[in-house]
Order: sequence, then structure tokens, then C-alpha cells
Amino acid sequence: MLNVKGVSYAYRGKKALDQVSFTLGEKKITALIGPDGAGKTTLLKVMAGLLRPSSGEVNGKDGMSLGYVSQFFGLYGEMSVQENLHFYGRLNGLTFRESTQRIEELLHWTGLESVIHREAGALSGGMKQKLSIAAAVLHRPDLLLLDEPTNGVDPVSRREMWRLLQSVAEGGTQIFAATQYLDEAAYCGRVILLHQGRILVEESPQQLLRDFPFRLLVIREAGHERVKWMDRIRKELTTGEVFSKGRDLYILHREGMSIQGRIKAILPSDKGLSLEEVEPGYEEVFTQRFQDADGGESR
Amino acid sequence: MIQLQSITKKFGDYTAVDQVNLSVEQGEICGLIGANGAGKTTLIRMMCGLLLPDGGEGRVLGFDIRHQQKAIRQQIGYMSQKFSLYPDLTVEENLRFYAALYGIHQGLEKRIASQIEAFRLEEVRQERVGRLPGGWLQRVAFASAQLHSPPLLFLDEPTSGVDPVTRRAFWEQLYRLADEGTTILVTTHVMDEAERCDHITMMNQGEVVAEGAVNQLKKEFARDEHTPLATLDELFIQLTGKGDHDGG
Repeated sequence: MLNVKGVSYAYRGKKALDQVSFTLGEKKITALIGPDGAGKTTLLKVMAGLLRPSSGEVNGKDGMSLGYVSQFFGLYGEMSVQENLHFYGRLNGLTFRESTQRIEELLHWTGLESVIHREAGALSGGMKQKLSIAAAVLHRPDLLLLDEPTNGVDPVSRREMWRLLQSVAEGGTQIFAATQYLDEAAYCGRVILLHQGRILVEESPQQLLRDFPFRLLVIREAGHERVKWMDRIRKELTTGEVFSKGRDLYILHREGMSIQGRIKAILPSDKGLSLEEVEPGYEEVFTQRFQDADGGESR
Repeated sequence: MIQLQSITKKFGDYTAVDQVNLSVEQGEICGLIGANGAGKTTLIRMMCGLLLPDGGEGRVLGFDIRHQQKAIRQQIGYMSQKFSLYPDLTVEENLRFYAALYGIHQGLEKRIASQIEAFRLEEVRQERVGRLPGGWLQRVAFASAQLHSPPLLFLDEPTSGVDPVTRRAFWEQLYRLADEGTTILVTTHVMDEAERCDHITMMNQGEVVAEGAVNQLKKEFARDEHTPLATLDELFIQLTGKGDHDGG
């Protein structure tokens, strides 16, 4: 069981991590979510033992095997898929026979069978990522650390990637994945929100949704006057946020029912616009947490 | 602003773009959606005046995409996925470089100052671009693409690598520009970006497979007419079947 205790990390006089503590326990998959510069990569590197914390410690790693998938493609571009996997097997102390058997299993799992002889450098983004994961789990590590594994891949590949990670987790590997896709929380038993080097919250994503105190209203098809109304509605609100998504305008608030009437008074009556209440999702929950932490901007 | 009819582009035997029609009105944010290798970049390059089509007709800002490529290039703004900034130059030097490229001489100082203010770049003005994190790079790139106040902006995955708070703020800027009349074409394979467009055109293997307003498409492709698709992810998966056509 990995135990991160009071970990801080300073770089060029700036605190990248500030008193971070948590334990990886029975929850099989943990998502680390945070804005750019929150310290996600630094935390992963500290957990992997690639960086030594300025203070605090990471306990429980003795005898624990690790897999690490970084943001950058770390495999050999001019070697084939199969060669790369054998190479990683060797690095992790597997015999050729063990490797061969495990590689066969992983190729099947990842759907990389059809490209085993292709140069790794010639694979698409999604396939490279799958190969990176396969290489990192060849030796069935106790803990797999991933730094934004689905960044820049399309929805089909993203879903396949998470299915792959779920089966890796079922095989007994703890998964700790940094991500920028908020909806991916749905695949995880727990999320840790990191902001400016500090943990804002550590909780199951479903619980965070249940505890969310804001309500969400939407004006469908607000069209090309959305910004004008956005600015006006913002003045009406003492809590929450107004934002546009395509032609729809969203109002996140924690005010009384009177807000609906006040918003309707702003909207022109002749355009057939309606105000509808919808369920907030992970995006609203997390974005609001981060904005609250930024302070000031969200009222 | 953009009118394309049966635009086709081949590279040898490979048809990268196959008889694509596209129409984008002024003030619209149009999303060109597809997996890697779907033909988005090839199509964009033809619209920007960087590549000649093999077949079909097209006009961008009223200019012919075959014969008036230079005029198109001067009038559009383009922000690439890789941001095309010079890592060894500072933020301000990059802006000056792009201003020179777009031929801005009159009111240069004022324009640079106003972009630095509008994009809150004051604190990194003298920083080398190569040392800035992703969110900042995106802001510098966007400020550069808009130095000459172009009526038409091409943005290639503008927010694919940035965090949700920054993404939301960036899109608010796009909505402001669009509502004031700027036409914006966004290419992306990130459905969260696609959801934010007014209209989308979805491509697969060089062809257009769906086209329309986001809300409309979610209804049209729903299994049951009363419950529209919750996300565009589902539409993408339905229409492209398999997303990642391992390069191409």
C-alpha cells in the first residue's frame, strides 16, 4: 500500500507540491485531476521515485513493482511493436519465454496484433499510447502510474484505453492516472483534485456529484446574442457562473427559485427561448471547485 | 465566408479529401471533426491557400481557392495545433514577428500593446516562449493569429491540451468574436471542443459523414427520438465505427 505523506516539492523557489498526503488503498483506479501547472506530473514523478521530495515521504514502495507511462512517447520509434515489447520485458527482468507469452496476451488485449511488425514510430497516436501501456504492464506491476494517457486521442480510442486500464486493474494492478478529461472520472473509484500543488479534495466521483450544491439551468439555442445575455445574466448572479457551450447558454447557481424569474425578465419574450433545469455533470463539479480555489473570479 | 463544392484532393492513389461540400456563414463557429487521418488538415490547407485541390470549386472570403491563394493567406488568421511560435524568442518578439508577417506597420506599437493587455500577457512579455507552459502558449498563439483582426480564423485543436477552466475562458473569447461577426473554423478530434461549435461537419476517411447544428445532430442520430444523444462522443463512435485508423 503506497502512502504519500506530507510531500512538498520546490522548484526554482516555487512550490510545485505543497503538503500532499494520501494513501492508495482498496480503490483500484484513482484519477488525478488538475489544471495545467497544478503539479500532476511532479506528483507522479515523486511517486515513481524519479524526483526526491523537498520534504515529506512516500512509504510502502519497498518490494512494490511499478509501471510508468509518461506524457511523451518513450518507446523506440525505429523498433517494431514486438521488439519494443521484448526490450521492455528484458528491462523488467522477464525471461524471453515469459515475455513471449505475456506479449501475446497483451497484443490481443490491446488490439495491436495487426501491427506487431510495424515500426512503433509509424503508429497513430492512440496505438502508440496502447503500446506504451502494454510495455508498462508487461511485468504485471503492483502500481501503474499514467501521465495523461488519453491526451489528444479520439473518443473511440479513449474508450478503448479505459477498457484496457479497467482490465489491468482487474488483474490486480493499482492505477493512478493524471487526466484533463473530466468525464473520465466516471471510470474511477476515486478522484484527487490537485490545484497549485495542493489537494483540494479526495473523494469518489459519485459522492462529489451528490454533494454538489449548485443547480444548472440552460437556455437552448441562445444563438448569436449569447454573449450579450451572458454579460447581463452575470450581473444578476451573486453565486456561480454563466457560460456558453455552442448555441446553448448555461447558468450554474446556488440561489433561490427567484433566479429563474429574474433571468426570464432579461430574455426577450419574442424569441421563444426557454429556461430548462438540467443535471450538473463532472465538468461543472470540477470546474467549479477549481474556480473556487482560484478565488475572486467566481462569485 | 466559405463555400466549397465537391473539393477533392489525392496524394497518389490515396484520396485524402473526397468530394467535400462545406458552407460557413459569417459569425458562425464551424467545427470540422474527425479522427487523425480523416482529411481535416488537408481540407484546411486548401481553404487557407496552402494547397491546390485536384477537383471541385471553392471560395474563401470571396476569393477563389485555386487562383487567389495569396489574397486568402493575407486575410485569414491561422493557429496551428503546434502553435508555430519561436521558442527562442520572447512573447513580445513573437508578436512582433507575426505583425511583420501580416504586414502591420501602422499602429504597430498600439496593436501589440492591446493584444498583450487583452490576452493578459504582461507578466510573461519578456519570457522566452519555449519556457512557458501549455496554457500560456495557447494564449500567445491566439494573440498572434489575431494581430491583424482577420474576418476569418482557422483554429487547429485550439484547446486540446489545456485545462477545463482555461478552455472555458478561451471559448468565451471565441463566442465574443463570433457574436461580433468573426467567422471561425475549428478542426478537432476532441469532442468536448466539437460540442462548443455552432455547427459541425464530421469527416471520416476523406468524406463528410454528418453535418448540422450540434443539438440537431444529437437528436437526429438518437436511438429514441425523445432522448437525444448525451454527448458527441456517441455520435462519433456511431459514424466512424472505429476511431483510430492507425495513421494513414
